[in-house]
Amino acid sequence: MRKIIRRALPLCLFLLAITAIPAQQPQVRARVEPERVAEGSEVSLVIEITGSSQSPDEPPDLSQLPGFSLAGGPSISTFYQWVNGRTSASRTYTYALIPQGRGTRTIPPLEVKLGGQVYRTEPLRVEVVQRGSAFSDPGTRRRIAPPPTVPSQLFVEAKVDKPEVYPGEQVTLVYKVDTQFEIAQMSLKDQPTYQGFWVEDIKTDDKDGKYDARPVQRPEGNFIEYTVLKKALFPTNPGTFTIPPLTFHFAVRRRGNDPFDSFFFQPTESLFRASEAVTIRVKELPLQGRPREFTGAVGRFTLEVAPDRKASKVNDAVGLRVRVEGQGNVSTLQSPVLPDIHDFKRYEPKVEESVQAKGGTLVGSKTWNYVLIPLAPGEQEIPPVRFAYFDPQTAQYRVLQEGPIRLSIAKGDLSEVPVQAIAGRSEIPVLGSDIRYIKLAGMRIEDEGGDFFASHAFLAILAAPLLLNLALLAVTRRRSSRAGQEGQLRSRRAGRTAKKRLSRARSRLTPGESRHFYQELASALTAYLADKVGVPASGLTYDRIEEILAARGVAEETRQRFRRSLEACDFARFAPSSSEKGEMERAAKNAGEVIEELETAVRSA
Amino acid sequence: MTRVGRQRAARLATVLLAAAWLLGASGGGAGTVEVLFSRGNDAYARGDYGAAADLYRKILGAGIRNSRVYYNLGNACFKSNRIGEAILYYEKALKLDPTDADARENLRFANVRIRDRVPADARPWVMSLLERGRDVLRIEQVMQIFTGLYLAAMAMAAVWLLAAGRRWAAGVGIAAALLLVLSLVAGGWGIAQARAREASDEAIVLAAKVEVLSGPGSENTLLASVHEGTKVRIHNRRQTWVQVTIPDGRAGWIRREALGVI
Repeated sequence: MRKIIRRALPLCLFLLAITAIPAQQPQVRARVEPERVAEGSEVSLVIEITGSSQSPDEPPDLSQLPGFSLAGGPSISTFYQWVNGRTSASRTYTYALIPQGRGTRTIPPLEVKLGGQVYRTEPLRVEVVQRGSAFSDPGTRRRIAPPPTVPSQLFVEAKVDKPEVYPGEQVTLVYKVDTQFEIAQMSLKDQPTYQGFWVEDIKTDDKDGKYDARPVQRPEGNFIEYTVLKKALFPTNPGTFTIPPLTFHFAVRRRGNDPFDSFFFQPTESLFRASEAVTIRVKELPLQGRPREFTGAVGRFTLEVAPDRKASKVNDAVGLRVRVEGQGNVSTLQSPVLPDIHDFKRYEPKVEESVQAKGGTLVGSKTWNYVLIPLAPGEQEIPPVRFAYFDPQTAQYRVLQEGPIRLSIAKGDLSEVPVQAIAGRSEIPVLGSDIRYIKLAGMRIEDEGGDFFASHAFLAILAAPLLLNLALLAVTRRRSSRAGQEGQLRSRRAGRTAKKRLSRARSRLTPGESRHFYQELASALTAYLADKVGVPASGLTYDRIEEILAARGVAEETRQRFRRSLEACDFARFAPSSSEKGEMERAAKNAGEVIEELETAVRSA
Repeated sequence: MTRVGRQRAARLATVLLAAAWLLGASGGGAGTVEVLFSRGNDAYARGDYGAAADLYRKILGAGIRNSRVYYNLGNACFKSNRIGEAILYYEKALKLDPTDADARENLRFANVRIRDRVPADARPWVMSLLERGRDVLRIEQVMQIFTGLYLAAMAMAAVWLLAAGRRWAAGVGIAAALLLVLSLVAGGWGIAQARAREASDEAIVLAAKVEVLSGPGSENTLLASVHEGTKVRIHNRRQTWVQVTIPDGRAGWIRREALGVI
């Protein structure tokens, strides 16, 4: 009984399974071909959707698939089938993937959305083996005829000529393609980057665009090896650097067995291949024995220093050519140490550079053309020029030296000194700094802290002349005060005195006394003037009066009036005709007015 | 006329006396000081800076204040790595002779090498310009100028007084007044210099490191610490303590023996 059950159970389960599957249920499946692959080769991932006429909303995105890099795809194909009146559709998405690294890689379940429902594929495994071992493995021998989309007849290799280098030493990176196909087209999927290296390309194809080819024997059979890319890398810093894999895209033609087919119908196939990552260790340049002149040149060089002539004149330019030639990264060479050249004005050099590849190594030359302008005549010497480099083959530093170079400089024409020669005169360089030297003996050491200027003696010196002057002032004041006071008094009283005199003259205003009257009047006028300006009355002639009044700034009109009035008096003294009373009265009035006028004129002057 | 002549002669004699006095007649004890100075210079030239400093100090110990001696002593201290003292003596030399370019340059050179940062001159530019103008001449020169101008003004004034009433008397009077004004300017200049010279409110830190406390006494709060060579301004003194303003403007108390007054 138990036996029966045990036998019947699988059958029952089988029947159950058949009836459970609906005929038109969509199915999503994924497969990978081949499941075992050499490193750097591609695998095809095929996602097949059957039983649904609906297409997915969008093809699965595989660009972020961990452990794989997407080399191409997806390519989409659709089939329709009619079987027994039923339509069935299938749609496939094919991706080209390149597994990274070695070992077993897993493609996780992939999600496909179909009509609002999510379908998942089974996880898939890919085994990545070392190159060349994939097909020697007996376990895979069975697959003698691999599917046509999974060719194993194409390999890409990246190789360096040495794994350990010094900074600045050339390491040559070569990409080789081993193929059994005819390659119709080759391209790089992305631009290679070489972090930590200065890169110079070395041409690999000749002028007809053909690559260097040679037959090679591989475990898989006979191949032709093309050298497709060659790069001269110069590490810039010490450390360990990894050159990332480079993905190539090939369009190949398969050589079929059928000659007819190969002749007329040659479809190209698209294939992706990635190189392996290459690790380069860059050693430190030794510190021991590093010369002072070393500026980072690595390789093997020669130095040449030559002036364009041996004799010149002041201000007549001399060219100096410094040339370094040899193996190494010439582009990054720094100028050899040019010594300080006194009595020459030096200009920034013109730099020429030429680089070429000779047998896979970069050689070249760099030339610095200096212009030197002699500033002083005589036998001048350019001190030796030094150039230091590191020779990686012997792991030693070397210093090259050229010179000294002697130049005889004749005196130039002083009148034609070019401006740049004057501008070339340099400041006196600062070579060091220190305090200034002590004061030397020789002068008397006096006590400067004394306070002579606050002493009584000094104050006495200051006070003495002041007191003297004050005394002098007192004496002169007293002496002049008398004379001055009298004069002032006279001047101030001049008007009043004149009025008195005039009234006295009026008292004689009778015809009999006309002579006295006019005399009195004339003396009143002159006495007034004498009092007013402080001069003695005697000797006041008309001219003197004129002079005095003019000096006091009295107006011409007033002066004339004064004079006429005085003249009238003097004339009337002797002329009886003027002894009439009316005449005399007019003269007195006139004199009074003149005096009044002068009083204001002289005061205001 | 004879009286005027007598006065003139007397005045001339006064001027000559003053000039003789001004041109230097401190006199007495010369010779030994110069010997000490030149021996100090010899020691300095040999590189024996300690001995040179001792000899210069002997001159100062005799009561002679001389800018050249201070300057050389500053140099000897600088060379013996005593930067605080070097700065102090350069400052003292400059106080006596503010025109000394050597002392000014060495002071600047030494100030670059001290621990504390010397703050930039934050005074208004007019003030620093005035101060620079003040130090164009030495005080002796300024006072000579002042005395000369003053005496000339007095002589002119006397002539003006005697020549009263003459036609040229007015011109002489104006000249006398002008000379008097100029002499007063020079006198003011001299007084400013004398005040600066006699001031003793600045000091240099001589100890390697000094604590600045909030009061006179070690129990007070520590405010800051200043280092050798830093210039401080003194406000008050109390026993062994002085109240100072440090370069950043803060005030505090420092032990007196850590400072050298300029």
